[in-house]
This record gives sequence, C-alpha cells and structure tokens, in this order.
Amino acid sequence: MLKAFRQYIKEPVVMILTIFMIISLLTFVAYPLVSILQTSFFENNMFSLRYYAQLLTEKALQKIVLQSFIVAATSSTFSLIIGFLLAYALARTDIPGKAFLSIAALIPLVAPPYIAALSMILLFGPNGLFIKTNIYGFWGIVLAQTFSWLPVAFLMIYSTFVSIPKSLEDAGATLGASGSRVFRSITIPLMTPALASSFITLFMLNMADFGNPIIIGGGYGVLATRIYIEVEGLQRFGMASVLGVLLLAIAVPTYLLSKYAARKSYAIITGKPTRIEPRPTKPVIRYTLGAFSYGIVAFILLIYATVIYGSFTKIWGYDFTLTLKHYNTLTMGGMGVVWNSFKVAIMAAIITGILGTLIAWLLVKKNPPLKNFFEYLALTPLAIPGTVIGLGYVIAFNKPPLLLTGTLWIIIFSIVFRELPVAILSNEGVLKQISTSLEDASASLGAGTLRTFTKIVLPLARNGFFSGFVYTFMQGMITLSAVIFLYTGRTILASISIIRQAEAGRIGYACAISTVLIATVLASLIAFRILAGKRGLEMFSFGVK
Amino acid sequence: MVEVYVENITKKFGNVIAINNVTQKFADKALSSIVGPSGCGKTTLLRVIAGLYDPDEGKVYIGGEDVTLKPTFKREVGLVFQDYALFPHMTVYENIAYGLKIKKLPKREIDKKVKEALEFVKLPGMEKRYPHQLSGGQQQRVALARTLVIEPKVLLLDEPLSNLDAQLRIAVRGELKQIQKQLGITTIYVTHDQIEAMSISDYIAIMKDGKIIQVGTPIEIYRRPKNEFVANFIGQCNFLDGKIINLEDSKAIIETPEGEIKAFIPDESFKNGDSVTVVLRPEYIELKPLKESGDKSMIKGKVRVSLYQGGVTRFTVDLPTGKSLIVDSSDPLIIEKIKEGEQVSLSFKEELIHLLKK
Repeated sequence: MLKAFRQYIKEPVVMILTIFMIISLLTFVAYPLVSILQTSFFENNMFSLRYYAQLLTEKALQKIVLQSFIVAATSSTFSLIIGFLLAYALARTDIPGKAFLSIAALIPLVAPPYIAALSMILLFGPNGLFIKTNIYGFWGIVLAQTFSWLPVAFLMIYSTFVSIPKSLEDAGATLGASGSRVFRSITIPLMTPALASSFITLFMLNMADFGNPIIIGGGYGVLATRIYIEVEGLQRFGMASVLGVLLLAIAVPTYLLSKYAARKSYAIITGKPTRIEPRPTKPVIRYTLGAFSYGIVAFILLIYATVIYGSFTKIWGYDFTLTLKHYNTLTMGGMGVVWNSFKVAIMAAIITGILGTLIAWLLVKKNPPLKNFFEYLALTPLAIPGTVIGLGYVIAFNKPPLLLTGTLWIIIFSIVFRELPVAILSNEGVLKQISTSLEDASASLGAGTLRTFTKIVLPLARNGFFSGFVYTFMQGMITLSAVIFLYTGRTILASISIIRQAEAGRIGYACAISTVLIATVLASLIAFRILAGKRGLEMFSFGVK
Repeated sequence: MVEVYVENITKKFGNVIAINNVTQKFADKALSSIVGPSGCGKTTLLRVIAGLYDPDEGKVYIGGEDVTLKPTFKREVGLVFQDYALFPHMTVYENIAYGLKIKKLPKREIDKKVKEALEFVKLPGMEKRYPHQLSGGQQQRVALARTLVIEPKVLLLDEPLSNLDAQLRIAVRGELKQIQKQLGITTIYVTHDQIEAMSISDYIAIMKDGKIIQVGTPIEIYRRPKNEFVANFIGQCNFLDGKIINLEDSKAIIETPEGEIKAFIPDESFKNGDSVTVVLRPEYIELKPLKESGDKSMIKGKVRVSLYQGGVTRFTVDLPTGKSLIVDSSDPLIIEKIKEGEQVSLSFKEELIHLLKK
C-alpha cells in the first residue's frame, strides 16, 4: 500500500485514473449485483426470506427452473453435435467448398440471436412456409437456440481439431492403430476437455438467452423470461431478484467451469495450429458429411433469407405478394428505433473502447492496489446473464442519487459494463506484448505519464481499442436481455421493437426491422474496416478465447 | 533381411515437387541417414516410407514386399517424431503399451515389455509419469521406447535430436548408435545436421531439391564429395580452379593461378587438359611460418584472421592472387607461433586432395 502511494506521488495521473476505475466498477458492476441480493432478502426494509420460501413452495416457479435446465441442455447438445460434425467435416475431410461453408456457418455470429426464433415461426409456425405446426414452446426454443449458437460450438471445436498436432495421430498409425482406432483413442480423448468447455459455454448462453424464449417460447417459461415477467407484468421485484440470484447461482459456477475446462484443454494441446494435408476421405464419409454440412449451411442461409423474404411479404401464410409496406411504416418513426440502436451502440462502443484500454493499462502496467479484486470485478459481467444485469440496473438506478431510469445513459452504461470485459481482455492481450521497457525509455527521455500513454502506449495498443470498440458496437446493436428492463417510450431500441412487434403478431414489421438492423450492422462493420485501414482485420480478432 | 527400397518416388504438394523421382536402397541392419538442407524433401521421403504420405508415383518396398498400398498401421515401421508425439493424455506406461495393446498381447506380457523397454532406455520406474512431467531428453527416450517395444521391421527417425540441447544431443547420439547396433534394426535417420549424420551413420544420402545427389559411407562423402554443394554441405571446403597439365597413371599435376598442385585423379574419366576444381578441406592444409619452411614450390600467403578455439585454430590466409583459404591447424606448436599478419607457407598431402570436374 505504502509503495502504491509512493508511485502515485510520482504519477498523479495514475492515481486519478485508479480512483475513477474503482468508483465506476463499484457503481456499475458491484452495486447493481448487491442491489439484487439486497432486494431478494428484504421486504419493506425488513430482512425476510419470504421470497426464497415462496420459490420452494410455488410449483410453477420450480417448473420454470426445471424447464430452463432441460431446454438449455437440449439446445446445447444439439449445437454441440452439429458443431462437432461440421467442424470435423471442415477440419479433417476433403469435402469441396470449405471456405464457403465456414463463412456461411458463422453468419449467426453477426445477427441477433432472436432472429432465429422469428424465422422458425415463419418456417414452421401456424402459417409456416413448409410445415404448419404450433412451433411455439419447447421445440421452437430448441430449434432457434441450436442455430443461434451453432457458430460458437463450431468455432471452439474447429480450433481444437486444427490444434491437435498431426504427429500424435501419425504416431498412433505407426504404432499399428487403424484410422478409427486413432480417432477413438487419441483424437477424441484429446478433444474431450474442449468439448466439455464448448458444451458448458453453450449451456450458459442458452440459460441466459432471453430473446428466443420470449418470441417462440409460448407458454414455455424459462428463468430469463420469467424474471422479466415478474418485473414488467407482476411488479414483483423481490421475486424477480430471487430468480435473478438463482440464475446467477447457475451462471457463475457454469462460467468458472467452462474456464477450467478450457484451461485443461490448453494444458493438453499446446501445439500451434497445424495445417494438415487432409488424407483422402472415404467416399461414404465424404458424401455423408458433405451432404450434412451443405444441408446445415443451407438451413442457416434459409433462416436469414426467410426473415428478409418475410419483410417484403404482405401477409405471411396468406398473401405472399411482395410489398414495401413494412418498410414504409418503418420510415414513420419505425426507422427511429434502428437509429436509436445505432446511437446507443456507437456511444457505448466509444466509452467501452476507451475504458477498456485505460483499465487494462492500469491493470497490466501500473499494478494498482487490490489489482486482482478489480480485475475480477471488471470481468464479472462475462458470467452474468443480461437479464440479471438489466434487473440489477433497474433496481439500482431508479432512485436518487443515481436516478438514471428512463435516460439513454442507463442503456448505454448497461452495454458498456457488460461488454467491458471483452475490451479489457483484448487490450490486456495487446498490452502484455508491449514491453515495459518502451514506457521506461519514454520516461527516461523526459515524457510524463500522460504523454507516454498517449504517444507510446495508445498507438501501439490501438488494435486492443478497436476490437473492444467493434465488439461492443456489434453487441450494442443487437442487445436485448438487459435493455428490455431499461427502455422507455423515448428510448426504444430496434431489438426491443422486434420483440414487441413479434409479440403483437406483426411479424412483417419485426422482419423489416431485423433486416434493416442486420444491414446496418454489416454496413457499419464494413465502414469500420475501411476507416481502420490495412491493419483493420486485426480488430476483428477479439482477444477472448 | 529388411531392406528398404524406394523406386521412382515422386511426391508433389500442389505445384511444389517435394520428391523428384527418387530411387534408393537402404541397407539391411544398417543405419542410413538422409541429410539435406530444410525443404530438400528428406522428411517427406521418410513419411512416404512410413505410409503417412502417398507418393504420386513410384513404389515402396520393405523387406522385398511392395507396401505402397498398405496403410501405415499395417506397415510395421516405427517412427520417432521430431516433437516426440507422446500422447499427452496418457502416462508413460500407457504410451509405451499403446502399440502392444493393439497387438492384443496379454496384460502380463505388456507389463513385462513396458518395464524392459523403460530399463532399456534407462528410465526405469517412470511408468506413472505424464509426458509433461518429463524433461526433453526423457521424453525422447520414451518416444524411442514406445517405438522399439513393438519390434518394428524398420526404425525411422525424423530429426529426433533437434529439440535437445547441444550437450544432450551428443550424448543421445552415441546411445542411439549403440542401441541400433545392439538391435541390428534397419534404420533410416533424417537430419539436417551433417556432423550428427557423419558420426552416427553407416551410410549417408545427401538430398537436395527433392533428389538424392550422393550416397556413400561418411568417409567417402567427406573425402570424395561429388560436387561443390556436397563438399560445402558436409564440412567446410576450399576450392581452387585449375587445369590438368600433366597426367601419368593416376597422378596429375594441376596448374592453378596459385601455383602447381599434385593430386591423384578420382577416376579414369579425368583426362589431360581437363578443367578441374581442386577441393581442399581446411584441416588437410599444413601451414608453417614462411621463415622456417624456406623450401621449394609451396603456396605462400599471409594470415589475416586467426580464431583460436582450443583444440583447433582456424586461420584465414590471403594468397597473393587475392584468393583466401581457410586452414585449420591442431598442432599446438604451430598455433602458438603463427600470429595475424604472419607470412606463411601452405602445403598439402597429394592423397588428400580431391578433384571435381568443371
């Protein structure tokens, strides 16, 4: 501590930044979480366990907890299986068109996840294009979630496939193991930790998913949607907080477990990604997996094509005449929601980019007091479902001195502190590669802390800033689960509007907003890419694994 | 008899020809090295023999049997990988037992063989360790034990020592040679390290740009390289341009700008009047202070640089023609006497001079 003070006398800028970091993290990360805990344990300012007791007695709530687990486990299993087969096909066989397949399989990454739900309704709902069923409910959620998070499963498994040193499998062959035996005894065991890590990550994403269950869940409630209903419909903040605590109690250990499994996987596979000359694949496998891969990718393309088609269709299911009317409505105030989203996302992205760089710099280079505590605190939102963040913000900031409810700022801050971990991690990755001796050299040449930061650190760390910026922008454009608690009539966002329109059965409008939203995201990404110039590609390599 | 024979092997990667129509025999029970600069195709050739790459053309025979269409796991070749390729999720025991389990040996026999193999590579009692708990040298031995325990017909080694530090490399090199002789197993050893190859091998094949350009015993290759590339790749060399001006029996007199040199022609194809390159290893040149030698038609020069290395001192000697020669001397009395700037005389034993056709 004493040492830290001596450092601050030498570098007052660092002291000011450290205080600023501490206050903002405590206010916007710790305080909302504490508020939820407090609300869950207090009733009329009196300590009470009533809400917890209610959870134990109310069968309907227990059912929702159970349903959350079942649906998350089912969706995750499907994503994992499909992702595994797709990754295997692309990493280990010689099917044609791999570049196309891998790009197409990643499309859901840039689109809002709940678009999948919208599309499933158009494809398989009561007015479905192919099959007319009552898609609302368990299978609807599973279908939508499976494809929403498929890229996550695919990417994690694919990168593991390519990082297993080829020599291990070759060694198996020289020791007399046939292809299938090598796969069983070497490849699969080596991949097990990564598969576990993928499954846990998927489980967490599905557990926290709000958009798909709210759109296509019908009567099938899950924790994330139930919390929202408790707040918006029933105004039961206490009960919502208990469910929030419960969701946290599931999400945080799950997150830690996924980190543990990922570490384990790194310990086993330390090899650099190797380019493998794929051995000629058996025709049976090539045709089966090839057909499967193209089928899956075709379905992914169909999901998004359907939404676009839906946006131009008069009345889905009855009158497929092409029309622009859903877009016309958009121009009458409807377009405003996309503009709102854009404003919010840009603001949040700038703030997150700057904060992420500053905090990462403090943590990596300046060793502030309680460094580990603040690092964990800053990274905590990685493990927190958006619903819980939204709930925390709505409870924490609806009373003075921090009355932010109803402003655009509460929405912006919710995005900033939710995406801050990614910005910090990508900046830390970059900053750790910048030798401290550069800063020392700058200081020895007479530059002060601020000058060193702006002239030396910032130019070298700009990739970290950019990836934080771009990631936050993307997430800010499509974010839903937190902001749904925080918007008012004036601050409605595109994502919220999509949900509202879908709930009201105005699918055409929902599709039109979705289409404009995705187009805006893509156009912005291209614009950033051009603005960032030739080093621009690196900013898409977010520093997170 | 387990002789390895590759016949007209060609292997391309895209447009790159990694192996260009190579035909070569690797002798039974011998340790043969394939040496060459990186990218010359030596590892590719080894992997073709192992069946890990399918050649585009040509055939592979092991012990007289055409195995070109046999998959790796049926070829009974043991391959020790550059990175050892120990299975990280298995213990040392499980690694070594892997091939034995595939052969469906009874458990008791597997236990016994693993134990013997570990004793053989001087790592007894290490069964329960995981690869990451072993040092590089130990990992290397486990990899060797895992390969030898399945009693392969052929042992293939792909730069097995390149990940070890210099001292260990020399120690393991000696052990490898002993083990190979003890087992009498046909072995093909790939390395880019020419000293390693010379010290360990019965035969060396020099490879360049996908072709084998010379095969022979280490002494043959060192003393009678086929061309300047081989001469330079295996050890250091001085080259002088010259012309045969007199040839009697196999004794030639070669005229060079630096003076006349006597040598024996390597074969009958050398004729009087041929332009030749005189190949001189640095340690084949004797040097003396000029004031001491005083005699006849020797080449004279001036020492520009001398690098004392303990056992050997390397001199760079400038000749009056502008050429400079590298000369190694291990004679402590000479080394002590000759300083930089000293005038020296150089002489060679005619039996040690090698000639290349221009």
